[in-house]
Amino acid sequence: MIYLNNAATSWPKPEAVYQMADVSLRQLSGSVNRGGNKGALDAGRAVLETRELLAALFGIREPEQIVFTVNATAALNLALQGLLEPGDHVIISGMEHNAVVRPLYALKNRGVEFTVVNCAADGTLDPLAVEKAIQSRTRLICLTHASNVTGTIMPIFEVGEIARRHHLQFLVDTAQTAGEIPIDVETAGITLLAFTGHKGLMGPPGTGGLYIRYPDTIRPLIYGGTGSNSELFTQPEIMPDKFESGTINAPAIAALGAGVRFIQETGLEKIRRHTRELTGQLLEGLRQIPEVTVYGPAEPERRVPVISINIRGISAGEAGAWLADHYEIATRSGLHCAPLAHQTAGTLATGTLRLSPGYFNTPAEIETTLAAVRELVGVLRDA
Amino acid sequence: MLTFPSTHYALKAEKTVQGAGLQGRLIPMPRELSSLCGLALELEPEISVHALALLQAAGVRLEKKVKVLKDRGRIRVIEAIEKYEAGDLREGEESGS
Ligand SMILES: Cc1ncc(COP(=O)(O)O)c(C=O)c1O
Repeated sequence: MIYLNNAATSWPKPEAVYQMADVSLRQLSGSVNRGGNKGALDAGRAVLETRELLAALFGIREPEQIVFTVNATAALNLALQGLLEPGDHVIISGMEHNAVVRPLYALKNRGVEFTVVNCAADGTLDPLAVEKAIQSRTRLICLTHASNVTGTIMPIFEVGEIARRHHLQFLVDTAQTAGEIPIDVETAGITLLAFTGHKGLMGPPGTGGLYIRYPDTIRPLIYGGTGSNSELFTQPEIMPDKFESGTINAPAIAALGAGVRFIQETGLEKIRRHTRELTGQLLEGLRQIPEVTVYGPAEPERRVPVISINIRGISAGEAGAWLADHYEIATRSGLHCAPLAHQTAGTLATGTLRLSPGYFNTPAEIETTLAAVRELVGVLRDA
Repeated sequence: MLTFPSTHYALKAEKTVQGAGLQGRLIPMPRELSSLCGLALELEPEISVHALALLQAAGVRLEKKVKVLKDRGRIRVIEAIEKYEAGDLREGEESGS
């Protein structure tokens, strides 16, 4: 199989991630926060280790400001529902995922308003347009770091600077960029950062988290057992316990730690160089086929390894099925949970076929994929 | 013995102290000590000053420091030495925010 669906979830994982998942599920015999036996302590130590690795990866000074959630969607919901109050106004881009748009849409009923700043068809966002959208009630700017439809990298530094100047919170959705391009919360002025464990960070599904710069400004969505302050009926204010009620998925978080360590040892620079080369090769090859429309920026430097296309004469879904049937190439087709982004790209009616290479793909696999697309186009021509 | 406002800080304290080559052991917290997080860090009195300095540098938040006398492994006497308020050990950290 040629796996080109890393934007949905990365596969395969580094060997160390499988090993850590196995070892920790067998040996972390305890619930973090509940008990002092060796298994529980080891589970706690593993979670601490992952928290510190992530803090180092994102330039976060206080690891306890990272709270674990089950995925990026849960982290984004915590940030949005935990922060926003009736009357608040939020600015988002025209490339946001439904993990952002749906909670905001639901919050409309509670008196929260939002403005969508339009992007160019290739996903490019003008930071000045963001600044112009600021109102007196604006509390938050929420931006995806890169689009999961067009791969476009968004100008988080420029927008972060605007947020800082206007004293607004700045929430960044790093689902497509964590483990792919460097992120530093201080430089980018990020006050809330949502990440997911199962994509670029190479960990298992069911892991993710939120960095919270100002914990006092966020209400928890879930209350209950944390192990600290057990005699009180009130939720502890201390981090990370305030937002980590209930037994945490320590074995999976330990495995996520192994993924982050793999990234650290390999070097983000090297990972990025490899995926950028694959992206460039794929873009170049696809552009030479007249029947193929490629969405998103032309330059591989301006995107993550996510390429959406359409092929004239065949729907995205059928094209994806043909590639899977004939060459066992795994892609994804349709609307990629981001109708707003499809609207921007002009593909809301058709959807797209999305090819997303990862660190473990090879140039040979990309060549095979390009040959397969050329063959499919040939078949369509002859039909 | 040191107690902490959360498990995270207890584990971080253990890592910090052991990382510096000092002896420090996490033990299940006796209920009479505190209910805050369930774990306490046991240190020999001789190294407590050094250990406290390390923890302060690492940004570990403490709840209190207590002196415990044991009789055949069982806690007999507990003497509170110091109680820390939130933020006590974090001065300077918030500057610039
Ligand atoms: C941009 C973006 N945001 C959020 C998500 C949601 O991530 P998760 O599946 O971890 O909830 C995804 C991926 O599905 C995504 O691509």
